[in-house]
Amino acid sequence: MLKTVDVTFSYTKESSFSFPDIELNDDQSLLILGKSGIGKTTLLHLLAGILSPDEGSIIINEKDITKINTKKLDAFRGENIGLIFQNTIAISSLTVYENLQARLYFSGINEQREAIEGMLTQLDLVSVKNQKPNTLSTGQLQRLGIALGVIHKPNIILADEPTSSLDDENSELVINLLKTQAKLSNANLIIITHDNRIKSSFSNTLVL
Amino acid sequence: MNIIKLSYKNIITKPLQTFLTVLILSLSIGLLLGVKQLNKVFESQLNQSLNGVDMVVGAKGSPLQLVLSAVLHVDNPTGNIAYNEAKKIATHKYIKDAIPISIGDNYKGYKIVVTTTSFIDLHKTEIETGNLFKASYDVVIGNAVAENLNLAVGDTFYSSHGMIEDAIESHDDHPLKVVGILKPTQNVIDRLILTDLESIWHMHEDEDGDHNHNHDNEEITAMLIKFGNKRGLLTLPRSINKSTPFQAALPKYQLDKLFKFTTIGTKAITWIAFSIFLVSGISMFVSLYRMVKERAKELALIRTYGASRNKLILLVFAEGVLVGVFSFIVGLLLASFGLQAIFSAIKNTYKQQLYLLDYQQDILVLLLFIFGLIVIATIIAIRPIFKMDISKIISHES
Repeated sequence: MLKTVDVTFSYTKESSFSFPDIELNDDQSLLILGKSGIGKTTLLHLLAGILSPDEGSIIINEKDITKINTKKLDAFRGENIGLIFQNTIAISSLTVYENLQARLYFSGINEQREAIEGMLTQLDLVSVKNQKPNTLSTGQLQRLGIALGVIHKPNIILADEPTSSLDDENSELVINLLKTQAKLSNANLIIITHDNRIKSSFSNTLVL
Repeated sequence: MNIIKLSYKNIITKPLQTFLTVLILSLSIGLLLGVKQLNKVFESQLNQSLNGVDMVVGAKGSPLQLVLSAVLHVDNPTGNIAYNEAKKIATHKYIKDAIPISIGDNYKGYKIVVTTTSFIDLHKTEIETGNLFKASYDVVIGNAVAENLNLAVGDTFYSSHGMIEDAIESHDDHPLKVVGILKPTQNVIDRLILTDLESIWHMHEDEDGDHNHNHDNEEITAMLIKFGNKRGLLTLPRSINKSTPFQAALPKYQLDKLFKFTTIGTKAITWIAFSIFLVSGISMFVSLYRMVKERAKELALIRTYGASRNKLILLVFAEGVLVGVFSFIVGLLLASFGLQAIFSAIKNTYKQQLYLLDYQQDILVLLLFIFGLIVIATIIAIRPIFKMDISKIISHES
């Protein structure tokens, strides 16, 4: 469950953002649309606890993350939030399998071999599990990014422009994968994008 | 997955940089450990071998040569002196013990010292097997001699003239008989063959065919002196050097002088090793700093995974520790093999077995140094982690 109230944020005095309130119940999804520079990524990072708002509350699972200290926030983020980036970031010295192991380790979750193997199967990454990220194709890398965002079964999955650089077919594939993983994790899925092609896939949208 | 495994994976992805850091760090560790140990072993050997000898009286010449030949048995004697005249000096009231020694023969490179049983007492050892020499041609051998030449009580051998192994001229008519083997001491007596003054005089008489030889004119190489009154140190050397045809040398003074000369070299090597150590510290810092800067994106990602800032610092530190530990093992192996090679060469040349001294203590001290180096390198390298803007780094990648 996610709820934001009167959230504002400013990088400088000249550029400040006021965001509309958001309220999502269990396993609800939300598509946030907006042009570049409107503050979409800022909002996503606020929801992930990477940025702290100037004002307002961000309540996730009845916990106001703006009120908890950095150490607890780190742990909370590791356990409850799954971030997926437009260009997948992974640890270059590790293989696909080891990246998933590292994800679980840093989230404070004991290694679950079956969970990793299951995720690799679901996202068709079994054949490349021993390869380093720099040897993967764009599609494989995208799927690795999704795996890294959902392997720890977060309560909220936050995806930043996941389809911007994909064609229609792959775009639909990624959205379906994200929706499936969110459903399997019983998580809220929030996607921020300026890609209007995926608007029809979501019933709940917010335009910034 | 854990911090160590991730650090290890990071290290092996930059093999050249890791190799260079390990190379220079292990080299400095090997040099520091090796030089320190060599200094310690040599100083200890010199001090041990003195065994309280305050003064050596011998033929005129180089005082250092006299000390090296009569006390450490590593050089040729300066010449011979009249035994009767030397005995007169030994009667001085300040002198507690005066032990005559005569050197000039060897067996397979091990020097034969013609002396009295007091020489054994001087070296604080005693018979392990057999007895002290009593009859002519009886010898007592040092422990290393027995072990290295596989000699036992009852065995006989022929000595050779001179100090060099395999000398052409030998005393083929008079075999020397091993009657006793001394307990090991780890100093010079272990590699000496001792016999009574009388027996050698007899040997040389027999060779000369002169059995009515008067021993009053016999010569010795040197007289080892221990003072009962330390005032002797101040007065006797000067008086002997001035008013007798002999030379008096003070072993402690001569060896200190020698050690000062030799330590110039070891000090220079130590400073070079410290400089390399410093450079390796800088190299380690550069390696860790580059890791923090170049992998900022990955470190930011790890923060989004829930890792605290401290965990990132631990990750950097672990990388330093892994490089440090690996370098230390290589450095330790370098030092150990190097020292064994040097000790082996010394054993072959001087027949003296050397042993490592307080090696574990040196290792521990150096480990603390390396730990300090890693801590300092990490502290400087992690600064960007404190200034890390996760949102900015991730946004630029998205």
